[in-house]
Amino acid sequence: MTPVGRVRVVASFTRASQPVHTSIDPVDLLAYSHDVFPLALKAAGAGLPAAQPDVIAYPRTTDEVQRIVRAAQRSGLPIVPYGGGSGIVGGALPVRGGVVIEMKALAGLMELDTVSGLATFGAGTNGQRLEDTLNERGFTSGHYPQSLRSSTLGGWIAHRATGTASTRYGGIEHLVAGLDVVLPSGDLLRLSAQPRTAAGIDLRQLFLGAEGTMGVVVAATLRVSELPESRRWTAISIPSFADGLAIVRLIVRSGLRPAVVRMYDALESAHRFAPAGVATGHCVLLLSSEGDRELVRWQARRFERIARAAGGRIEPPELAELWWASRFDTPALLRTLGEPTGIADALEVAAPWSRLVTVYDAMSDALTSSLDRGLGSTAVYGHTSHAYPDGANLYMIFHGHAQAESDVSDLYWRAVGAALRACAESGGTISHHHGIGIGKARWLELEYGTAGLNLLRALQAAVDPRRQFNPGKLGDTADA
Amino acid sequence: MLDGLLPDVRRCASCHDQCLFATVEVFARANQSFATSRKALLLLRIAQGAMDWTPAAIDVVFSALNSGIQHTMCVYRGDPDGWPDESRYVRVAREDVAARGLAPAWAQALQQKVHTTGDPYGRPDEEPRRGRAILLADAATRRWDRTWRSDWISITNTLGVDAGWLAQGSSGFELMELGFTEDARAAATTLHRLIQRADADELVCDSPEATWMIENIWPTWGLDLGVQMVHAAVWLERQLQGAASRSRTGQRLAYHDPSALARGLSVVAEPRAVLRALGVRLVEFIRSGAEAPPVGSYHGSDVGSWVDRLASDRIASATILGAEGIVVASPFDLRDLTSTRIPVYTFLRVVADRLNRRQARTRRAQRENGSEMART
Repeated sequence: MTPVGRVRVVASFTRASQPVHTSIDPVDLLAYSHDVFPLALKAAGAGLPAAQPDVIAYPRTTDEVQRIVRAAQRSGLPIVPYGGGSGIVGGALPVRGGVVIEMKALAGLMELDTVSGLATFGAGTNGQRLEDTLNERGFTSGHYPQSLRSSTLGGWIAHRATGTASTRYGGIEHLVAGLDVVLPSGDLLRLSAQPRTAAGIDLRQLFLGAEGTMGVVVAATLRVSELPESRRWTAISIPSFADGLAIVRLIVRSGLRPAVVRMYDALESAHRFAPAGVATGHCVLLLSSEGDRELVRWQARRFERIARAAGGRIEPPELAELWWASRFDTPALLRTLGEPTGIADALEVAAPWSRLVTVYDAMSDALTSSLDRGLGSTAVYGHTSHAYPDGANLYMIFHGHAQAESDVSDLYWRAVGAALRACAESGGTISHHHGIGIGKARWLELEYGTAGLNLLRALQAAVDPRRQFNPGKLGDTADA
Repeated sequence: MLDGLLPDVRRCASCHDQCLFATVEVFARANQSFATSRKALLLLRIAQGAMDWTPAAIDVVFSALNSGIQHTMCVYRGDPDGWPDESRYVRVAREDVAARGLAPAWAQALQQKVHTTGDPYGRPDEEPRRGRAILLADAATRRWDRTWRSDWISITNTLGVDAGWLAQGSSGFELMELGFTEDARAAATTLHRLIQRADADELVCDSPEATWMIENIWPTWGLDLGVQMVHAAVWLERQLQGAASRSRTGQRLAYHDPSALARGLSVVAEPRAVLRALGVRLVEFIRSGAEAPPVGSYHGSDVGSWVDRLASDRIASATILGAEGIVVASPFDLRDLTSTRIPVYTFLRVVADRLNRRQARTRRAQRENGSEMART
């Protein structure tokens, strides 16, 4: 957009008696030109913007969001809501320019219903600040994603996120009880917090994972829990990843509810736990139990009994405490991305128990053979970190090097494509909790087929006929 | 600009901001431009010549609170080769801006005050007093803490320490933070001379910022004190060792860790040990010690009303946790947290008060024992 065009758009926001704060300053446009999509991070390391918005709008109220949406609709510009910019699939990148709506002023605790365990926050609330606010009042969200410190509540909803303790507390789709959404029409949709509803299709689900394509979530009510009285860690080592997954399955299928479940393959276990004395070639399983003290003690004993019976060896709980204490210190991917020809990413997928090992093997093979076409050191490893009675996720992590800087992007897309195709063909889903964004857009058809993708597009077209809300995301492959 | 720091700036620019929640200026201003990764990206582009020092760019650099919290929360933490520290490259960037005469008006006003009065806040020097233990009252202490002298006298009298003070000039902390490095160095050199002249056995300072400055920056300028200076909390912890109080009385107080003390000097346990030894009922913030957030600007200037939000959030936290007052150990925190919502006490004030009460109790007990003895 030309500078004159930008000024016109800004003028349309500021005509009202109470103008909305906006910026077209290059400093601000640069700040919203990024999220943490790996190729965007590589651009940032070189001092380059990854995408270029036209205008940044800084609403302070829901009413201001409505006014921005209506004005942007009139101008025909794309609208991209922006939380913490922590998404790893490029969901917040303004790939077609337009108006970025900075959500951080719509933040903070709005209401706490201590009787029902319901807390309403502005969608721009930062995750760690949300958790601290609840902790001060004796509650927890139970939602601790790796991005807790940099993501926002609105971002969790947009990406259908989940946290490290999800096996006990559930993903964001279980935690969200109510939503306030500014629709593409500019109307405010209020979906009240209810324990369950059968009033037709649950409209809340329309916005969970929508990546901002269906409207702007401005507030959400979460189901919150009392802070656990006790937390206890269990660490287990086991000769094979498949055996470790079997232990997790037995635990979850038996009705036990660990909070944290982390089953590492041999390579990642060696990297993380060999310095702490775990035998090379063994895989490590970390489990936490939290809640009532007696229940926690009993559950931890059950974990140990099941693990021993399946050939596991009980390791000191300090292994798990070590992970918990350093869980935000995750520089490995960044180090590789910081190298001129380096690429790295963490692909989070999921599959039913019966197909999980097959998916792991297929993705490992696909990534290894794609990256071997590059140059330099390659590593592929993975873990499971969210378990359900019917299956679990896989976090497939890869590091590789292209032959030249100009080949980095090609190698990245080739590796991701091969891995996601392998996942889908083996019976898995291509995203467990990062969403689709631009990073997985071109493979969404593998998930839903043509009929599913057409339905998704029809839904988007019905809600947002001009496709102004976060275009280029969620299956829109024009920019991928 | 930035030369040796460019690898750190690059690492921050391409980072996923695990420090974001602690970069409080981002939330107080509700603007991603103040995130560490975006600051770094901006500086990278300015260093590459792709962008200029515009007012918005200068605002980003001068709004950084330099509390060191990004370094504490860094995703690279623990790397044997070290990990980036936003404050270091922000200071270099400010120096570049200041050298071009582009520093914000409020920063230049502080520099001007030093030029005309020798003090960042335009206040006159005070008469020094000799003693074995000298309290260095830096410019910020003299500006915001009205009771530092009477508290120090009261404390040292109670403890039976021959004490004096030095309340002149400036450690140069504020000037250095704002990029006026040469002025800071000149101020530091002057104060260094005064300290040498005071000839104290022990140097104590109630300002974490001045203590940090003297311990970390002065030696790089060749200014060696010849005697270690410690923050008042460390000195008092040594004085009160073994004097633990078993009973907890009075108001429930939340101790707020100053950035320069908890992160800059790793002094976290000592102030709590002193307060507990004196029977204070302590309440802990959810984020305390090295993770305590900054509650305002640390260079003595009003950078904008947005910083009020930081103090307001901290006060709200204290209230929710059931604290009836906040104890601060930095003159900047005293300025920032003072409000009508909750009483705020300096660390020295609380210590002086508790020591006086304890002494009064001891005397009363001695009197009562004496009367009892006389009766029997």
